[in-house]
This record gives sequence, structure tokens and C-alpha cells, in this order.
Amino acid sequence: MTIELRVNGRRTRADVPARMSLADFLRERLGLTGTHIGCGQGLCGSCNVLLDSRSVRACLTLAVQADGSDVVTIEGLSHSAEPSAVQDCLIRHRALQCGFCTPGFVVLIEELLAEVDAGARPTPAELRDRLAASLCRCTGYAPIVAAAEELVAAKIVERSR
Amino acid sequence: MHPAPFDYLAVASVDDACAALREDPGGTRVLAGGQSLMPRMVRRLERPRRLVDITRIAELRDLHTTVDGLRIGAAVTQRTTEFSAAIAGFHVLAQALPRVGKVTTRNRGTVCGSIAHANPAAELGVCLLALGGEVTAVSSNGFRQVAEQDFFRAPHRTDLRPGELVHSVRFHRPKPESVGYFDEVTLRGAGDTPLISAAVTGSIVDGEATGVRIVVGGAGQIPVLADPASTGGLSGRLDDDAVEHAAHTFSAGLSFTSDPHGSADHRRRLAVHIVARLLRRLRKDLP
Repeated sequence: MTIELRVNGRRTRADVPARMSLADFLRERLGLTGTHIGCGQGLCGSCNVLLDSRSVRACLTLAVQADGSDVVTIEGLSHSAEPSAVQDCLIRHRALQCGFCTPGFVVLIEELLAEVDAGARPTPAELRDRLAASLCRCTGYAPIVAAAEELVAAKIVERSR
Repeated sequence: MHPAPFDYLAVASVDDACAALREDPGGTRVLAGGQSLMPRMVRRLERPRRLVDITRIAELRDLHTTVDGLRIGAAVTQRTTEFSAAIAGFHVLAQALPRVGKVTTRNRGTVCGSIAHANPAAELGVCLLALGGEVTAVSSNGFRQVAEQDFFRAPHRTDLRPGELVHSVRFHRPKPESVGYFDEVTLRGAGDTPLISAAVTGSIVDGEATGVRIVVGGAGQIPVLADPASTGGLSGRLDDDAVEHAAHTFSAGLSFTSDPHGSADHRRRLAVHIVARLLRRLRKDLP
């Protein structure tokens, strides 16, 4: 089936089998291997990407379902060789060890920051609940939560200026 | 993890969806968000010959309120509903929606899809029974309304007939004097399916609670609405004895099953505990 979509701002046209997941399409056809496949059945969140600005599990989304959409992967969230503000904050908090889950967390945090930018004010409980959408087997979550709290607070300050 | 091969058809109208279902009712599955269906397909628990994607049907993206209810089309995601101003006043539904799955699954998963999947522990089915409402099914034979009490037939089985799909669901609007609370117990990483979901609603009139409805959902049986007789005329000031009695007698009649996530007995004890907690929360609204 022929699909046409934007990936990280670039228009892409491809012929894909109906059963190909968006995760496989991104990794195998476009070489965007920053989208990781952990469980492949929607439990772990390593394959989170932004689909029309909303975080989705790329393993539970068919490539054909993304026809006509705008997809942003981890590669589209850091614009140079330098880490993005979110990545930098995660590094400073030592919020990763093996890093396998990190792209999924970055996507979750970027979506949350966009909502904060639009006026949302997540409570600490809501923030933890959001981050529960991804699993991390290394860090015990505390540094990831701390990094997200710092980023949300910084975004709120930035908006109030 | 890849599903078995299938054909994919994105339809543009409800008529086209019905026609596609009619051609091969047994081998066709309706695809909306796919957040319940895809995990089953990648585990090869389902091998449909064809998926009919209904998310591009404009008519099914409708979400609107009327004086007496809230109608949600089959292509409306849980997240869209969660963000909609329309859910104000639908207490248990508004509380339950942010707790469905994870943000990433709510962004794709639909309200109707969760209800059609009929996982007995799922939040939205419990809310449908607590608020009351109906499911509108559609097939090439036309529309059919199914009341909330008749929709769930068994765990993961609904009243939908071969060739039918869910068109929309309607939740009754609670009366202004109605209050309601939702709670659940979830295990991390177990597909985010709750061990149990529970909702309690009631009206507060002249300083007393009336028309108390208790609903509990969990593995083993469809979501259960407490028979007013079994809860012993639970009304008035909801003192501790009445609350404990209602929670125990109702939960004693539930027939949960055991699975790797929890035993039937554990689910029953959770039901007692959560129902009592929700009733005490309702009591706090008494003047």
C-alpha cells in the first residue's frame, strides 16, 4: 500500500505491507533507528514517537495508519550534534544508564512541555503518571522524574516572562 | 512481534464499513485506535483476514453533548474526550478517562473501541454501567440501540452481531444533585489492565444520599451493577455499618477468576475495600 507522510519535517512516500508497524517503517525503511523496539506489544514505551504532536506507541500503530500524518521521532527532536534541552537535562540528572528507553521518555517529556507551553500546569502526581507511560529498567525513575520536574518548572518560568 | 498478514481497507463512510463487514463478517475486524486489537494481533491471538479502518469516517468523529447525555462517535479517541469540555458534569467518566491505559495509548485508543473490546476490568465499561446509556450499533441492516445493561454478555463478548460495528456510545447526563467517584487498582506493566475498576454514584437530596449505584468490574464476569436489594437499601447518612454491609454483601456475590496478576479472592477483597472507600468518599459530600 502506498503511504505519504511527513517524518521529521521531510515528506516521504513509500510502498509498505499492511502489517508493517510504524516502528519498523521508521527503522527499516528510513533508517531512523533512534525509535527503539523493546516489547513490540505496547507495554514498554521505547518506541514512542509523536504522531500529529501526540505521543503514540509506534509498535501499535501501523505504517498505513500514519498515512497523511506528521511524525516526529527522536532524530527530529534534537537538531544538531548537540543534545537538546530535554536530553541535556536528562544527562545532568543522570536519568539514563543503558539509554534504551530514553528516546521514549524524551518524546513523552516533549509532548508534556508542549502542553505546559499551551497553558497546562501538571501536578507532581500527574507528571509521574505521564512518565509511567514508559518503562526504564536501570534508573529507578527518580532521576527521570527530577529531570522532568526541572524542565516543566523551567518552561513555566519561561512562559511567565 | 509482527501480526499475521492481512488486508487493510480505510473506508470513507459508515455505509462502506458496513458493506466491508458484510462481505466477510467472520474474518473482518474493525480498526479504530487499535490499542486493544494490535497487541492481540502481534501475539497472534487474532488473525483477521482484513482490517477495516474507520478512523477516516467524519461522521464517527462526532463528540457532542445534549441536555440529557454525551454522545461519542466510534473514531473519537480517549484523549480527545479527556480534553473535551463536554465531559464536565459526567463525574465518574471525567475521573476515569485520565486513568485509562497510558497517555500514549489514550492518544490513539477510542472510547467506543475500549467498550467494544469488553475487557470486564476496563474503566469505561464500568462508567457506562454507572452512568447508564446506550451503544448504537450499525450494520447494513441499519441502526440498533443496545442499553448499557444488555451490551456486555461475557468477558470480551458483547451483544454486537456478526456484521455490526459500534457507531457511537451515549452516556446519560447525571442529574445536578448527583455525585460520583471512580477508582481502580492497576498493576504496572500488565498491559495496564486494572485488577478491578469500581464506580459509585448517588444523588444528594435534603442532606441524604439516595439512588446509590455501585459498579465493579474485574476478570471473570462482566461489569456488575449492584442490585439495590443486595445493598440493603443503602441511602441516608451512609454510616460506617451501612457502608461495610453494602461493600461486603455486594462483593460476596461477585464471581472473579484468578489469573497470573491476582487471585479471585484478592480481587474480591479489593472490591470490598474500594467500594467501601468510594462510599465513604460519597458520604463526605453530604452536608
